[in-house]
Amino acid sequence: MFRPTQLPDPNRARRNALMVFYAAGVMCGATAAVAHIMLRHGAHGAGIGLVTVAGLAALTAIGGLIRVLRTADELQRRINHQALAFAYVGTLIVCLAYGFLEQSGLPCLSGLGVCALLVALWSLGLVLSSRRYQ
Amino acid sequence: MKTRLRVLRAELEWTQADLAARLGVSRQTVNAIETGKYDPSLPLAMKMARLFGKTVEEVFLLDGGPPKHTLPEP
Repeated sequence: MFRPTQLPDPNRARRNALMVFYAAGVMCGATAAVAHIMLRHGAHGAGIGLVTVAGLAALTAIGGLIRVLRTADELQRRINHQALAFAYVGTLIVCLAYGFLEQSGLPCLSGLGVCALLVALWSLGLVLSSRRYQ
Repeated sequence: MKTRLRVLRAELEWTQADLAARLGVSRQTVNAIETGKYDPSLPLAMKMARLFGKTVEEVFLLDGGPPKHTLPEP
């Protein structure tokens, strides 16, 4: 009789890689924010140290994301590909449109907004693309 | 593309999770293939056929039936 528990769980490596990606991403954001505050208050030594930590965390997050994509099966890769394409085109259109609207008098927003928009559209794309195959 | 995957799986009393574990894919992928929402790649289709001891043509059926014109036998 077939016993699936005897086989390795293909999703475990993906889950672990996702955990690394999220943890490193949060660590990168947090240390970068603290480094920004320290540098503004003149603590240059500690600030530069934290910037280095943030950079290493960013590299870990990128490595984690690549591992997530490598451990994904073909449908999950397709879903991710569609979500990334959705986020890329969406961000491009929104940024282009807002760039023109800024010239018409709308307030000038921080460049960090582009990152937030990209992540938001990527997440939305993952949800929409996943629903197509359920 | 139509598939007999659900029937073949039921004959062996496997769940979607069992089949997914055997194939090394997610349960969502098996479900999407069974419901015809996703056509698997050739390697995955061959892996499925081999798992059930069938040919790819016995597991997957192209919409519209077999081709009208086939190449002559060598």
